[in-house]
Parts: sequence; C-alpha cells; structure tokens
Amino acid sequence: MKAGWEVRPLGEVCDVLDRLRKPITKKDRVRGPYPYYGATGELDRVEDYLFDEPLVLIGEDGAKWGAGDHSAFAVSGKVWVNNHAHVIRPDRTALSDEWLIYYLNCSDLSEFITGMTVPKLNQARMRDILIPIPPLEEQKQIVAVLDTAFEGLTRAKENAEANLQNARELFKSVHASKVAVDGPRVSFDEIVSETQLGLVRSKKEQASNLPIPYLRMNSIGNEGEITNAELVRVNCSDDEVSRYALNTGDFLFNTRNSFELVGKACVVRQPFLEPTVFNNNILRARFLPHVSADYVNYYFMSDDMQFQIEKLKSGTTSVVAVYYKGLKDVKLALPDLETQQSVVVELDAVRREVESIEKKYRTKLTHISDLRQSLLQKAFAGELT
Amino acid sequence: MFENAFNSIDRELRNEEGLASELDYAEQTSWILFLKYLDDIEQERQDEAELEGTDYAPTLPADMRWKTWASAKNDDGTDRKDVLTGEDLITFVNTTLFPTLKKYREDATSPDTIEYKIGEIFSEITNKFRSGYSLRDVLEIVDGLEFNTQEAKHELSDLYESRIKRMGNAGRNGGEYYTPRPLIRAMLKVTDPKIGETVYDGACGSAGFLVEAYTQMLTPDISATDFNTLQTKTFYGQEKKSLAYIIAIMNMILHGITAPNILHTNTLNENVMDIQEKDRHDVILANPPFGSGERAEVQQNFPIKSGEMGYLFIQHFIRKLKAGGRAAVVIKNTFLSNGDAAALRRELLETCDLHTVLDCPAKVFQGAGVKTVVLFFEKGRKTHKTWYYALDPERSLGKSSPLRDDELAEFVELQKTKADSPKSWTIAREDIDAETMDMSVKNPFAPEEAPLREPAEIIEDMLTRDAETAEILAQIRGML
Repeated sequence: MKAGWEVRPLGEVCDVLDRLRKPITKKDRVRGPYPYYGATGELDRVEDYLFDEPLVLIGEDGAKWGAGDHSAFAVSGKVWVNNHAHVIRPDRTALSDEWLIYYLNCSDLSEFITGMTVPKLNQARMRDILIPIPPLEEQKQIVAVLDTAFEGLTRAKENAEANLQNARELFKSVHASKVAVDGPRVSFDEIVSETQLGLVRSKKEQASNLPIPYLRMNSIGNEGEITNAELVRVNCSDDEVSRYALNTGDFLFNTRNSFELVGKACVVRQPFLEPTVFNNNILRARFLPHVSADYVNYYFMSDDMQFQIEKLKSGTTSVVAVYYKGLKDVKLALPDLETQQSVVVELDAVRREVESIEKKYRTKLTHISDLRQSLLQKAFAGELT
Repeated sequence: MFENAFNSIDRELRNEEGLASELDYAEQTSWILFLKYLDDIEQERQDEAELEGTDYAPTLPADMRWKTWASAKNDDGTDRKDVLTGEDLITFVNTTLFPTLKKYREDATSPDTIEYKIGEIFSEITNKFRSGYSLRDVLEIVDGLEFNTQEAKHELSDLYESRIKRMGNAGRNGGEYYTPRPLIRAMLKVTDPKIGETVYDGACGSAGFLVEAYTQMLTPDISATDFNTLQTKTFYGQEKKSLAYIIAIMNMILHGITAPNILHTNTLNENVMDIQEKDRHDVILANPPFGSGERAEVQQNFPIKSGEMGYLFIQHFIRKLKAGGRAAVVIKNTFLSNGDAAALRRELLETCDLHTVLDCPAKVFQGAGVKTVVLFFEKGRKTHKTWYYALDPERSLGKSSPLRDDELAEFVELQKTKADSPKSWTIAREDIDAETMDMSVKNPFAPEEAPLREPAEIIEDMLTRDAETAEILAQIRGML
C-alpha cells in the first residue's frame, strides 16, 4: 500500500442508513416531484421523500456487482429509496463520495454476494468491503484525473461506434455507386438457365454420421455470403446427389422463413470439399453465360431489389414465403458481362477493406473498455499520482 | 376482488395434466363459469318469481343444478357431507352432466333460447379435466364468485379479458381470438354506433368488437328502454370456431349482455345474393380471418371468387350493410395492392365510400407477421376520395409493449377533418390507376431516406473521428 494510504472496511468509514428506507409498491405510488430509487437507479417519481442530503446508494438485490458495473451511484436532494438499495453516508472527513463510488464500481464484489436464486449484497457483508483510502486531497486529485480520462474515453467509444456504422455505410455507398439500377432491365426469369428447389429431408433424416452434407437456410448469411454454420448430413441416392449437388456459381435464394429473414440470398464462391446438397426452403438458380452470379448476388443487396422482394412476401403467420412465380418477374438492370465482372472485383476489394476496418474498430472498442478498467486499477493501487 | 380467485384457478389448471395450453385453460374456465352464471341467474329469477307469487320453472333439472353437484356448501352455508369429488365427480361430469346438457340443443324451441345456447356450448366443448380433485378445487373457487353486482361483473369481465389476451399471445393461432383493444376502440370512435342501430361482426372471435361497442354505448344515464334495446336488439355476431364461440358468449355475458345474439355458424356458407334488407345492419366491425383456410365450395356464394377468406368476407360485409351503414374492417395490407383483389377493390369503390384507410405497422397483431390496414367505408355512395393515415408509434411493438390508446388519438382526431399531416394524405378516386387499381399505402410526405453520402465524405468523417480519438488517448497518456 502506498504511503499515507490505509485500508478500512466500509462499515467503519460510512454510516449506513438502511433502517430509514421504505418501499412503495407500484400500485400505491402517487406521482410527485421526488425521485424514487431502487437497486439500479431512479424508478419513478413520488410525492414524498425520506432523505434530503448527498448520499451514495448501492444495490442490495436485483443489481450487478461485477467490475465495471454501475452498482453504486450518487443521489442528492430530496429523494425516496426503497429497500433494494443500501443508503450510505460516507464520513467525508476521510472519504469522498466520488472515490467510494469509483471504487465500488470498479471492483468485483462477488465475494460479498450471497444467495443462490436471488443474489444479494446484505448489509453485514457490505460493511466488510475493504476500501483503500488515500489522504482526502489525493482522493480528489485521482478522482479529477479519472473524470477527465473517462470523459475522453466515452467520447473515444462514441467515435469508434460511429465509425463502425460508417464503415457499413461506406460499403453501401460504394455499392450503390457501382451497381446501377437504372438502365435497360431484364426479368429474373430471362437470365436463368435453370432453377431448382432443394431436397426435402425431415429432422429425423438428418444426423452427423450420414454421408452427404445438407445445406439449410441458416447457411445463407445476411450479406450475401455463406456462413460458417455447421452442416447436418443426410442420405441421398446417387441420382439426387448429381441433381442437387452445389457448384461454384450457384445462386441460392431463401424462399421460406420469417418475415425479416425470407429473401436472403448468396452465391457459392468456393467449391465444397465434398458433394453438398441443399434443402427445400432454398431455391437454386443457375444463370446463362452472359450473367455473372456474383453480380446478381450484389444486385440483390440493392435497395431497389430489396423493395421488389418486400412486395412479394406473402403469408399470414410467422412463416412467410417468396415463391418463384413472384421472383421470376423481379427486374434487374444488367450491364454486359465484362462490366459485371469488373464491378464484382471492385466490390469484393472494397468489401474486404471494410471488413478489416470493422474488425479494427471492434478491437478498438474492446481496448477502450480495457483501458477504463486498467486506469481504475492503477488508481486504486495508488499508481496514478 | 376476484384476482386471487382467478390466479388460484390458473394454478389448478396449470397442474391439471389434461390441459395443455392457454386455449385449454380459457375453454375449461369458460364452461365452469357459465354453469355458475346460469345458476345465479336461475336463482335470481326464482327469487323474483317468489316475490311476485308466480311459479318459476328452472331451466335445469334439480340434479344438474350447480348447487347439487358443484357447490360444496348447503343453502345455509354449512359444508356438505356428500360432496362429489375424485373419480365420482369426473364420471358424473362426463357421463351425466355433459350429455344431458348437450341434448338441450335438440329439444330447444329456437336458437334464441337459453336452452339452445346451453346445448350448443356443451356440444362443442368437452371436459378436459382428468383429476376429480383438481376439478373439485376449481369448483370451490368458482363457487365463491358472484355475478350479481355491476362491480363484480366488471371485474370478472376484466379478468376474463386478460385470459383471452393470453390466448391471443399463445403462439401462432392467437390472432384468431384477439384484436388489440385500443385498435377496436379507435374503430368504434370513427364508426360511432348509436343506440337504436344494430352492430354486426360476422367473424366475431371472442366478441371483442361487440363487447367494446357495448361498453362505449352504455352511458351512465341511459334510459331503461334504451338499456333494453342495447341488451337485446343491438349486437349480432357470428363465429364458426367452437372455442371462440364459447368464449364470445361468455365474454358478452360477463360484460353484462345477458342473452348474446351470437350464432354458431360459418358466415362464408351464406350466399351473399340471398341477403335481404331485414338481414342488414347499420354498423359493421370486424377482423375476419385471412388466408386460404376455407373449402373451395364456399366461393360459390360470392360473385368475386377468391381463395383468400378475407376477400370473401369483404364482399359479405358490403352486402350486409344498410344504405348509409358504416363499416370498419381489418384486412391484410396486400388487399390494397394485390392484382387478384383488383376487381374487389373496384366493386368496393363503386358501391361504397371508402373514406378512410388506417395503415397499421407490423406487430400490431402479436404472433402474426402480416401487415394490416383498416378499411372504413359507408354504403350507398361511390368513393370520391380516400384519406390515408400511416400509424407509426415510433417504437417496436411486442407482447409486453402492445399498442396503446393514446397512440391512436392523433388518428381519431385527424380523421374527423381528414386533414393532411406528415402521416396522413388524401388520394382522389380518379388518380387511382384504372387497370391495376393499386391503392397501396405510399406516404407522399415521408422524408426521402437520407440519400447515401458520397464515399469520400464518409471517409472524411471517419478520419476526423480517428484523429480526435488519437488526441484524447494522447491526453490520457499524458496524465499517467
């Protein structure tokens, strides 16, 4: 422990005012001007108050007490507190409210929690929590440093989140500029060479020890890609394998699903390691030689196409379908093959970049959160000043 | 008052192995409540007859009366010794009670009598209790309920409604039984039925529309004659599905309508060409079933054939309206745009004034993915213009956060003047494409989706933020 610092149990440096608390059931609450607090914060506003001074509250039950959780918070003025939050008045000659709150929120208090079905921080255990206490002046300094740092970190987090969103927007913007939706249009039916609905195999016919992998709708992602979902396996006759096996360049369209998910599509870009068949909620389309399946896949991501597919969704329950009889008439603006292919190459490149950017921002967000914790720990170990 | 009783009933029902879902709970609670209610009414009539010195012949024979087989107390309140329970109770219910009550349907003189209603109810449902002890416990709880005061009826009706709502939430079929009450109330405010008019729902489900209409029309200062009119000559419903029919009867009874005019019949089996003036109504409110669940033969009854039940119902409602009658009907939003329904749209606009369309967001109906609209039309005039309102509560709706009355207040207010607003606009009849008859909801005031920014612009923003973040982090490092 740093010089001048001591460690005291909470019960010794604070008054606990739990005996003055009173709950009011929702039915009996009358709206008023005074905040009504519970374990997690302000729940309501009521017409009377129990306390009128600056205090620290920490959840007794119905809250979280891990490191970084907002278990403790400050209140002041006229307030009412129910019996799910402890009411603490620190001895301000030794301990500042802000210091106490930072410490309680930064620490993992699980060793003080009891109860199996309803975890609880009871008063006795709460009083046992050991608080590192530097001289008051130093507390104020450290709190000031933490406040500024955290303000900055919140801003940094906002920036990272905004940029994460913008990365997505960036792709959409480039996509919209490359995939033209005006120009001479053809119908879907005019560009396919064959369509095929998949094989029916019930749950009972699926197992992990059967010979042929069976692709289902969970393998079609929301961005036109094949997901890493594990494939179940089924039995097939040789005839079925040759008819239903997937090749690169196959365009897969989900014909039946919930309202939000139906209509998702993807293209097979990598060959499968073994012959793989697909299920009956998926329509496979193969295109004529002048059509690039990858281009069509990108086209399906456009707003124009999404709009057309929305109108085709039919169904009154939670299973919604888009049938080929509707799909065949959707319109696409199709440039010549060379243009299609060059657009695909460009979009692929942009997509890769954007994905790597997104990854970086996600990592950044984790780092910011780690930094927060690390700063707090240094603070309480006395290493910040 | 009765909340604890209902919660106790729920607990018993949950423990009973013969009952599997909210639908079962509602059904079984219904027949027990019905018999108790019947008994209370009989008692009242008997007492009245005694006071007047007349004779009263009870509907049910002595051994079928509630106090004989169900109640555990003697007339003076002491406990009976010979209470039926366990195996004996179940045997009695299954082999004596239900079959006797079923027979009433055959013996009744007309479909309007209480005997007929009893017969119908007990033909349609079966007792699902397997444990006589569970049933005994439920009977005891129900025995403690009373149907005589207004307050009691009101609370009972609220509790019953909450059970029906649970059925509405019970998975995919829930929408069959339950239309959100705030939507019903808004539809009522627009159609505004008056005493002396008749209100009809040809697919009444749990009778939500009829019950809300009754509640709205029942003013505290109502006269005795008006009250009688309201009770007997105002509300008419039809429902095909047995369970919904029972619930509808019970629901209306609990809300105070003692002899509900609900027919247990398939509305689509009626040939619309046979509908005569005397069958017509002033106000129609409904949320008909959608989809293709009906047998193909029923299409013969309609001039415009369709596999979609909702479209057949609309034709039925158009013809069931009196001249000058008002209707509010919920239908799939694809009705406005679907090619197959173009002929029907044309007919609707020619024979009626479709003056208002309310576009509802998804999830107004729990458990159904479909988007709906409410059509408001008046018979007797052609449509010249149609006012659209796109309801947008600006939040996502769900089981625990359903639609509220205040969220429809703006619609009701603006509908009076059919004013333009960011969410409402008017379409003239002549502007509708004569061939496609496309009337789909397209808000002309909706702001264009913020156009996608140029990539360069987006990248600029991202780099600025990155620079700011770098500065912040450097600052923090400086403080350490």
